[in-house]
Amino acid sequence: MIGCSHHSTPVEIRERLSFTDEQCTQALSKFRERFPDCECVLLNTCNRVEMYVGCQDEVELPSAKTLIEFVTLFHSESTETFEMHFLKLESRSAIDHLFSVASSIDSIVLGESQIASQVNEAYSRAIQGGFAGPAMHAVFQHANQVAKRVTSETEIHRRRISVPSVAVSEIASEFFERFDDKQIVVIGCGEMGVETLQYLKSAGASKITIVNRSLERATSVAAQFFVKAMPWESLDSLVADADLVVSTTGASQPVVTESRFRSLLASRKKGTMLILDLAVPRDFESAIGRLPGIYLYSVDDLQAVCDRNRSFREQQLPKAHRIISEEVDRLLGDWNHRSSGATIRALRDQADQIKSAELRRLIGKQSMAELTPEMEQEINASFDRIINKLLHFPLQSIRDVAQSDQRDTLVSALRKLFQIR
Amino acid sequence: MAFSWHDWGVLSAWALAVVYTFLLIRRSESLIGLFVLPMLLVLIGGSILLPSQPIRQASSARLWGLSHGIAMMLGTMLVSLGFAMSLMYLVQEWRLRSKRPNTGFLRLPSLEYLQSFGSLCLLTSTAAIGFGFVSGVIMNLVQAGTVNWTDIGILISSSLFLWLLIASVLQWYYAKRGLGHITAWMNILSFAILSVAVLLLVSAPHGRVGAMDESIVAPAPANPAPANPALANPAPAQTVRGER
Repeated sequence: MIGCSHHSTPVEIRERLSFTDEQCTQALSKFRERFPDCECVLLNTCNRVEMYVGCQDEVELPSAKTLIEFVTLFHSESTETFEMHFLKLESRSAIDHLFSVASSIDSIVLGESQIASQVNEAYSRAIQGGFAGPAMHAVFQHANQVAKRVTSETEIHRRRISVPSVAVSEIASEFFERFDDKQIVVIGCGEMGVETLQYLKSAGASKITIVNRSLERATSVAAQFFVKAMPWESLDSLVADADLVVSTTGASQPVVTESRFRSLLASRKKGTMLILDLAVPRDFESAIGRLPGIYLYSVDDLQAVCDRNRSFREQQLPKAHRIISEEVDRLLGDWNHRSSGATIRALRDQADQIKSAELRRLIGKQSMAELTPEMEQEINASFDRIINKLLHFPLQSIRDVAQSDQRDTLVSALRKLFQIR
Repeated sequence: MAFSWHDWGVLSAWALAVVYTFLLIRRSESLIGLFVLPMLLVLIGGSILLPSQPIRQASSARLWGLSHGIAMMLGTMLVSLGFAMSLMYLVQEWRLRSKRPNTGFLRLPSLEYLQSFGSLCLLTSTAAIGFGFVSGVIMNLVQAGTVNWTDIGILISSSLFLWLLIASVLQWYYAKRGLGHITAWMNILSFAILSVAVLLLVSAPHGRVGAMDESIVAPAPANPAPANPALANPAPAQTVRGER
């Protein structure tokens, strides 16, 4: 595996090495032309460009330098300039890395949910183009299982870490039991406002009104979320009637001062009001939060919750690493077992072929013409016993070291000694 | 069958346990048990201290006596539950007001849920105590043909009902203005008043031998002379726990 990610490569470099969807397919096709015996999966996200390469025969596997050269030349960039930014991993550490990436513990936002689907997309693209083979199937399918295991056995994905998601899922839900009967006012419909609307809608809110200085923009966003848009002038009456207010404007001065809020409270006929002021600088004066029945949360209060949740996710890292390590062991163990099995089978087949040839030669001799079927069977069994006794110790030795580092050396020696291909 | 003060206390604890089980199933993620289970222990502990002699009425008043007992038991249970909910409300409100993060350990239901549950407890306990008071009055009328309004039991239960009525109105008024903590304090005060009321009732002759409002057959070996004409031919005295 070679690649560059947010850990070690500046964004300017990553931008120059990243692939569009079309370029991904082109690169994979070129790769197959150049390395026809290899399998390849190209993972390209906004934070990483990684190339996973596998081969049935280790001799055919291109070196990390060759792969880096391939990627840089594809982008018409200088290999010498970019080589230092690449991460180069082999066998166990490469698998470990892929599992970490798929489980989102290698992401900028620890525990983000997007990366698992991006890994799956990269693998699907490789399958569709016929670039993935047995090695990539085994590793990427296992990566998917590992990601699921990390999700279910740790709490790495559970706590929210973006301000709008924390505002709705962790703060508003501490106040309100349900959102479908609550009057909600969203002030401003920039990026933060739109993201908050998504979380409010998924929490079941339906009585949402957007207020924005530009009614046109508010109407367009409202249509997208099937909610109402009202002109800026109706802000006071809407706030007076609201259970939850989310403010996300880019105003440089507070939009609602304490005196203005007190005057609009006079017409209020409802109970508790929660104000989530996600704007910087703040839209609501802090004194408003001291009024009875009014709870005001600023972006700093929410950021503190986000930080706490992020730290909670980080606490889950050792558990996630443990799961990944277990799964790498399991995959390699299965692999080794399968690989030893293939050598053992090949050795037995070779011995059987020799035995059959020798048996045919022996029985075909003139002097053996009067051989009875019982005697022929006896000779056959005798040959089998010789083969079994000869192969017993070498095969036993392979089985004994199946899980250790010696296995590759021994299997390789056996293949060379017996000329197994 | 005649119930004793002890039996009613245990029954109210049992009723609270049933409600808690229901809450545990519905809201397993919340730490309701931390607040409800001590109430349950208080009710059970309190029941041990209550007299175990059966409270018996004339057969004509038995139905009203049972209604009185059930309503008072439910009222007690609901006030206790309202107290637990209100403590949770105040903790949750303090936490949210001071913007202390939810650490996961003290996970409580939402403020809206705690307020509406507390309010429901207050209203239903008012109804239960009110019904208990009225059924007690009717029981006395059926049993003795008259009501001794100066009886400590009647005075206490009427005062408790009056307080709960006032508390219900106040909480309704303030909750509409977003002052949910008023409901919580009403529930806490109600629990305090109920505790005092129960202590006074237990120390008073209410519901005991010779009491005029709820004539009781004494667990004496011999048949005592009935204090009330309605009990001229009482049912045979039942064995009480202490005699076994």
